[in-house]
Amino acid sequence: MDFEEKLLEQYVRDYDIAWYSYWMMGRLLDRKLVKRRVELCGLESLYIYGGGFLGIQLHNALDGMADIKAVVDKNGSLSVDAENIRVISLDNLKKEYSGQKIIITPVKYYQAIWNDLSKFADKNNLLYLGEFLEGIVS
Amino acid sequence: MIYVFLGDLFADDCIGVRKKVFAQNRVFAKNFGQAYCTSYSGQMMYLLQDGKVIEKEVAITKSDCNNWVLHWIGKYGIRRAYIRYMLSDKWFIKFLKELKERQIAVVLEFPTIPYEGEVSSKSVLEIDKHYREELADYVEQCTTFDYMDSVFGIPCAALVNGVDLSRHPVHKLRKPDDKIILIAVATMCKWHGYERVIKGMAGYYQRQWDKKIIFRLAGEGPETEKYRNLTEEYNLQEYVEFLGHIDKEDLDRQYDDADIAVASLGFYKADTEYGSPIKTREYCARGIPFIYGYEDIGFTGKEEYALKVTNDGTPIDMGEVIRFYHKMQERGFYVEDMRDYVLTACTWDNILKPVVDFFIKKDKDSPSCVQ
Repeated sequence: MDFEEKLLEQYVRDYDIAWYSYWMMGRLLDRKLVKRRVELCGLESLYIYGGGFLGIQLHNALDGMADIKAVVDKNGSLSVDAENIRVISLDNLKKEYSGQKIIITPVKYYQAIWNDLSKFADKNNLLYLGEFLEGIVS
Repeated sequence: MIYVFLGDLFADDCIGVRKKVFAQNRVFAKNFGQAYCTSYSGQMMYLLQDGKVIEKEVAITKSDCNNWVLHWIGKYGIRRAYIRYMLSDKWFIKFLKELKERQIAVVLEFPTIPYEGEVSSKSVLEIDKHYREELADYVEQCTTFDYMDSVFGIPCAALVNGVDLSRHPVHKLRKPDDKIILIAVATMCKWHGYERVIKGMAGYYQRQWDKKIIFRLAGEGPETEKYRNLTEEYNLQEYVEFLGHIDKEDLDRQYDDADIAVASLGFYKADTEYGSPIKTREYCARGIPFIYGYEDIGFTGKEEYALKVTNDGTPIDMGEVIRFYHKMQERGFYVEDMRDYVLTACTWDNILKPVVDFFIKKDKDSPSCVQ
């Protein structure tokens, strides 16, 4: 692949990441949809991975619908101030994790995060945010 | 064998497409062993076998989607691909080029030709028009539901849309009474054009009438609100019923309680004259006479159990519907004719024969084929 081709692929990827992130932020505002998906996915107790906008939006969307143990962030912090959200680091998650579902919210770094989490969590319990919102539920 | 569908097979407005894809794949499985299909939703690429997910991967860009399909083709030793066309772009052409380099036999299905009327984005259409000129460089065979020798320079086999008879029991004939019940089973999109029925009923009920006509709409979609508004505007709430999404058992009961089914009446909105929607075949399989408003390549227009109306926005004449109803009542025995037609012309085994033959011929030309 030549340089311009690589550049185009990168632009497309960045554009798609931004677009899908925007789309997911919007879908999370639909409480009926979120409730339906919580039931379909059998979500009772879970962790949210990612302390960015999507992670916080998901936390707020799931409020009252499922037991959110914590938002997990590698840095152990959120991108905005939110007093009602418990935040823990990845290391602390490893210590306290006991088989709950984990929804991964960062789009760009999904694969790296999945690789980290699958070292101690069952792969069947790892759910990408887009999958939670619109994926096939077996 | 892999059926490549780069959309969401499980979306609410894809029920008909999903039925078709799975039915087609059953034929491919019969002929070629394992048959897989793909689906894309929530930025996830899925590989399905017998309707069940066997692989899933995050795919953000079209490149990602294509790369996962290519990966699975390699992993499962797939040598044939049936691809549902979803517009051309740089990445689709690259994907086809890669399939050709791997000597994968490819058939491209064009669900609708022409399709420009269905694409709302001008820029997407411009890109498609540019890249589709390259399709013939990488694809040797295509199919569509119209009689065409070629599409974009690719030799074309005409297919009639098929139906899986086992899933469509014959409907019980309703005892004649003082009403005629029309039923439409659809995802309520603009090409269904059911406002023509509602407007026709409005005209009918404004005059003196003797036969009550009820119109039931099973399913929901983008046009549902419009139909509801029209029903209110014309004060037809007593005669137009919105059933919403209903399950199979309920649908069977609704068919048993109907006299005439309504197929697509709005093809003109997509500048399309010809088609072969599964809907009419399903109505045929159930033995329920139907109304349709386009040129269907599976019907001559002279079938006694089908009322063909114009392909435009003219309200459906309820007088014509009543005459059609009485004709069917007098005729009797049409159920067998309809079912026979489906058995001989509309089962997917018959319809996909040109595609199966093409793949078999490619196998003979390339003996290294696995599946």
